[in-house]
Amino acid sequence: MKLKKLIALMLAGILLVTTLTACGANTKKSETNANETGSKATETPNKTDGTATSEEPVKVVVWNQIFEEWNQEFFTQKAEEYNQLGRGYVVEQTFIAGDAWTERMAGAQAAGTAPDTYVASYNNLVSSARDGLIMPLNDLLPAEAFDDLHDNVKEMISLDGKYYAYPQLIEPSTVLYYRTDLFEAAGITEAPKTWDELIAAAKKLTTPDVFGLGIPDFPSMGWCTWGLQHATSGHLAINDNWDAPTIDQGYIDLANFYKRCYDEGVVPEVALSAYATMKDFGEGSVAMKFCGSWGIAQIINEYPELADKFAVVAPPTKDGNQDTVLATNGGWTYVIDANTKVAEGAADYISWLLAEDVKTSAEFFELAKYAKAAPRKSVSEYLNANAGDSKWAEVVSYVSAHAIAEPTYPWDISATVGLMFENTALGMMSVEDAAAQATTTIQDIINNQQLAGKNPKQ
Amino acid sequence: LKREKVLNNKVTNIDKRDMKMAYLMLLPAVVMLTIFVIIPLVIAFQKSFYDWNYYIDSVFVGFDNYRIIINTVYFQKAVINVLKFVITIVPLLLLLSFALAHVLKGLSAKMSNMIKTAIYIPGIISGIATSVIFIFILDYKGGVINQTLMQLGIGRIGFLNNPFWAYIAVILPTVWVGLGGNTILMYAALVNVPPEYYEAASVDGAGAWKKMIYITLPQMKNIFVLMCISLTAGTLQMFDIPYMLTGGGPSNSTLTPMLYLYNNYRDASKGMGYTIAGAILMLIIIVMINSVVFAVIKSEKSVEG
Repeated sequence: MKLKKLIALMLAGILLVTTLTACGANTKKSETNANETGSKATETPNKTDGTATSEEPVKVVVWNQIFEEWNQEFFTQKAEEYNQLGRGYVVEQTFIAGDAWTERMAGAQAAGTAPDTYVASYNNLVSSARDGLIMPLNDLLPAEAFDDLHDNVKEMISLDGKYYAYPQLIEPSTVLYYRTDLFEAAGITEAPKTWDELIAAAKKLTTPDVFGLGIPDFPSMGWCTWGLQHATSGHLAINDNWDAPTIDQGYIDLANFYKRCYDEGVVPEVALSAYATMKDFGEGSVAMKFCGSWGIAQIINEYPELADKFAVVAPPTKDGNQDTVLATNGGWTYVIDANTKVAEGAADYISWLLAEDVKTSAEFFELAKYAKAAPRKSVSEYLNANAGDSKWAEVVSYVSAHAIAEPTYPWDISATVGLMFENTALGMMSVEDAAAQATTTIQDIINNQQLAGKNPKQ
Repeated sequence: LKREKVLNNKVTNIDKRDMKMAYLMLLPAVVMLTIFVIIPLVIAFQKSFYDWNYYIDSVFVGFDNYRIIINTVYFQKAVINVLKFVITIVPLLLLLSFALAHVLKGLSAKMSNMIKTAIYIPGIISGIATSVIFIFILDYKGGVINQTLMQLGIGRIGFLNNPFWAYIAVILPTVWVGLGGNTILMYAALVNVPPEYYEAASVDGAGAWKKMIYITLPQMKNIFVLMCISLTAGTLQMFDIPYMLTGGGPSNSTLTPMLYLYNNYRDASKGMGYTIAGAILMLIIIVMINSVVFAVIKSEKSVEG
């Protein structure tokens, strides 16, 4: 019996110890720590007061997302360059995969171990600022840094007169890609500017192996159509006071456009790849496709054989008017954690990386093959003067200038609009019924979540 | 004897020693359950009444989070969807595994072992991997079925763009994954039915149908209860296969509550308390449905045999 007790005690002990040890295990091994060796020697800086001295550079923890390989190489190199400068701070940069980002960040914030500065998308800024997760940068970065930003970008990073982020890049969410070789073979001489021209071109391009146009996947329709919604109706899905839906004829027209694409057989019944990726276009399954400007770099890097066989134009609109809102601007910014003790250090790195030397910023856009637009006026001017024979810089810059900020209302509303397009396109209900259902659902969401008067930008 | 002692409220020294050992053996499980289940559950329950925030003071909102989630049309739709999945998948799996267990019982030991191994393999594959396999089969352009249809000169079918086919597309891999394990359970219960009962029934002139109704099913009642409970609870928590295969579409026809809550968790415009309230609600729904299953099957009687 004693032996049994001893074994039971040992088993219980082992189970408890292993379980609790596993809980406290360091999970950072799964990350890509680009500056690990460079920062180990500086792990005991003045973290408490966050001030830099000449002897002990203060560590600034940066979280970056894993995007393209060249992107990661660029920011790794920039962090190393910064660390060599002796500005009193050293950066420890960690790259985290996008699909693990939300969980990692939430865990770090809950545990009080959030990075000092990190990348954040524009559409998360308002909620992060409202929830006190990030701090205003007005007093941390020089006023000239913000003066240099394009007006529509200033709007995207501000709340209640304060700037909560410094932008890294902007990407229009919608441009039209087309295969120049297939256009030539089909005898199409001009890129379409209206929906009628688009569908007519798609018909000519459709063969048993290739669809004329790639349709966005329906889960993405909630967000990738924001620009088109505005272009067609002059507004988004709810009014500025957030107390009533605004699903009108413009929305019905847009839903009918998607239905026509299906009915004419110029799009695959099921999207062949997600809206945000160029897989279907790169693999030659579709001749035209809507995607964000980031698709340019995707094609060049992942489908180099198509590099000389595609072009990019502003998205066609119902009536061909392209001097209107054409897309939303998305992209990435750097924010500073509200609880950081090294706010000055984080701001110093952001300033050096994004807001000072024009050439440092411009280098990124050159590597991105001008597929992204610069948020700073000075950088845009530099790029316009030095973009050389880039086929895309002008289009990306034009669409970006005709783009609005992404809406900040709850996602359920955008999802409802996407559902309206889906129900219409797939013939599940008439466009009038789908619009009526969307209106009722959005009003329910407004009432249920008590959104009236809560527009933070109002 | 033991039962008599308990009834007489007499506990001997031997019993006390055994009980100490039993508590000792239970200790790790109790500690871990407390750390990983009970404490988080209590905290989650508390947080569900707050507009919860990591950095600024959380605000007590009473039942507001529950009111919002209950009145959210997409959550309601997700609950209805998952109930449809429960009433399809649970009986289907019970029926198929019961039938397959009968087939296995009738086979030679060698053949039976081979088939048991073969059908159990899908059970050890994760839902994500299973979904990838079915994407290869159902994909619109490169899927095995659509490629075959194209070779036959028939048009492609958009399996994942049609609510009916999408529903089937979610059920198929779910059943495929669950069939092996459930069949093994059924088989184990089936071979434990004393053969004397069947012999006696044969002597009395009972046919196969009567033997199944009056001997097999009552004898296997406990395993049916166990499977009903675990399958119902598992189906109510469906996430990975709809997430991978359909994303909840088309037209939210395969949206499940867990998938909806996951999407909400990633929606920065919503507070965490809202998502937690949804999760607590699902816990309540699962407990309620399982209670109903217990009541319907009258499990207390069945436990006593």
